[in-house]
Amino acid sequence: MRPEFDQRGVHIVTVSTDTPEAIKAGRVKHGLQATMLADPNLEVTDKFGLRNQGMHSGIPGGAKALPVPTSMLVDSQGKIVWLDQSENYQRRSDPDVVKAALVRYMG
Amino acid sequence: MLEPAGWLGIGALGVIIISGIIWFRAALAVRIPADRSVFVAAWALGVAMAVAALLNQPGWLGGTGAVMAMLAGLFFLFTVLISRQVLAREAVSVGQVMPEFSAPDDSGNLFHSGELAGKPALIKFFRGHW
Repeated sequence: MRPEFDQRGVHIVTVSTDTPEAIKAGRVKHGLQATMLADPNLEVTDKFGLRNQGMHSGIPGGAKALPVPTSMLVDSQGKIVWLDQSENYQRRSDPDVVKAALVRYMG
Repeated sequence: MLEPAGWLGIGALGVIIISGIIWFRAALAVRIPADRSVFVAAWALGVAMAVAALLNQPGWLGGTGAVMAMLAGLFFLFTVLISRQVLAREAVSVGQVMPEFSAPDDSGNLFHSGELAGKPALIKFFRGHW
């Protein structure tokens, strides 16, 4: 995936509820080159309105609050040009789907 | 020798194990299909076979298989049941300018979305390691 992004100057930013330490461990494990942000209190997630409102919304006695897995492409003006969400968290954005969107929206 | 009900219990476990392996292989490859009804049907079938076996004196071997098949099958069905996402009404959508945000990266440096000005970006929210 990496060359497709570099070629178009697309910066990759990931947001997860993991702690910086856990993210670092994951980065070493997967060799990822991206800006990987820690959002344990879902502050960024809430700004995007992506907190899962289901059983994982952090209600007392409920499971840990989580974002709805989402991929989006943002143009150089910060406008969202493509957004992909799965209707269930067992599924994530297919790498091929992201790649196709990249070609379509980022030339 | 196994009674027919015993074979049914073992068969139930087989159905659950095979569908479970296919499921986890798909999950690892991030290829779980949007329509999961085939998996749900396989697990429901496995649970039904296990129940049928248990009601017909499956013997200890078939009975153990049936109980394991039933527990694993019900667990798989439960995970599908709770996985539905309910989105907040104020979720961002295509055409909007993304909100400003800042958060620490994995080296502890504070990142601000302003750093992306003039650059296209892919932004991914995910649930972390599981």
